[in-house]
Amino acid sequence: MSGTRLLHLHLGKTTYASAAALQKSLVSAHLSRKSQSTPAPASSPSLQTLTNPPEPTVITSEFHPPVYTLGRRESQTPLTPEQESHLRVKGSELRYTPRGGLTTFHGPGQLTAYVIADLRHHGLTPRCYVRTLERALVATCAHWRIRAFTTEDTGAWTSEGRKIGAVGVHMRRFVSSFGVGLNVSTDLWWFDRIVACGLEGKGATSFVREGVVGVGVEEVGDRFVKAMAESLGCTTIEKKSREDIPPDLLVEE
Amino acid sequence: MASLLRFMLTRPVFKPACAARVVVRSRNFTAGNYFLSKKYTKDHEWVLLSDSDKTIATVGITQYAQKALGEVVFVDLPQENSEVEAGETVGAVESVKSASDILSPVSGLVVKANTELASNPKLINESAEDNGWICKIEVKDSKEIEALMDKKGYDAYVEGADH
Repeated sequence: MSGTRLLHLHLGKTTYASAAALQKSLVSAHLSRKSQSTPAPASSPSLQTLTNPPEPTVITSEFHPPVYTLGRRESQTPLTPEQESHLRVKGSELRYTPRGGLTTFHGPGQLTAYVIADLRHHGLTPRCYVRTLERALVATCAHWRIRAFTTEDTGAWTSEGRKIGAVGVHMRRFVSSFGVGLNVSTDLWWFDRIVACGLEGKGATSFVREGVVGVGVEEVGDRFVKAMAESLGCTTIEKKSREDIPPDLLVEE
Repeated sequence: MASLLRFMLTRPVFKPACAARVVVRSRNFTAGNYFLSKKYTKDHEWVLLSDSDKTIATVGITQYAQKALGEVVFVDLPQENSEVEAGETVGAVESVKSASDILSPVSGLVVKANTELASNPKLINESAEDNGWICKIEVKDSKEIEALMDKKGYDAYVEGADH
């Protein structure tokens, strides 16, 4: 019996804009495949060769320059100029996103993984899916003997007050986008400047802070993708690196 | 093409432990054709021509959808007096860390948004198919609604989705 394949697109060091553009193309491909009654719009031929049919896909990145992203709730009431300038320091970007959750940070030393999948194919409700992501984060940490767990507050935690991995997703017709951020060797100073995810008095941690040094974002990404593939019932993973991805998919329209 | 078929035909080996289980209770139809005239989309929105002239449609998300989402913490409501096309985003429901787009089942003009949801988003969990409505739309073409699933069709669809 042939199992489903999971596509792993490893962007590595990239801008938020490139990852977001790639994600957008993949979401469109999934959505147009879903509307079977209407013919699929002529999506770019390069995308079709990349993923035809749309398979569950994980994009792994490490954002350069660093970026603070805001959640959907915050996108309704734009920040004051003071708040904006607070979030634009040392070359960091500021992006409004349609995902759930509140302000968080992505940047060097952090694995940012976006998962694009039709959750209906995998029998997952949105609520279940968030738990699936959490479990994949915990499993990834466990591989390096970091004991992480889940709490009432979403994410992967190493203690009551320290979060190592964050979750924030968007869903349209059960097609998921966005995903997780997992701190490997992130400079935690970036988190000290914000109330990450709206949780007062809670802080961030990383592999390094937990005593695991010398691990690269890419290998952590590979492990996370493996955990996701298992959860989604995918038996094979096809990894493609940035050179294999048509450059036009990495540019904002 | 072969790969497309393979994609469509293979079923995931893995069965998640927490797949949605929604008990669909049979409705009491003594309230006339009220429930019969309610229509449903595959994306779990409901729509009901709620006035006597049949020009204003009330739109919301279904009981199944609210259950699948979990506790709603925020509702992104549409702007009143904005035009929407069927299948376009008319808002979003945010449950824990996940924001789901609500697609309009019908084309028309948003004449009212349920502002009570701004202060009490949980109303969707308590009463998804009644007090937790999202918006009212002045319908361009009521045929769009007729083409949607009725209660019976939707219940069967949801049951299929559960397995």
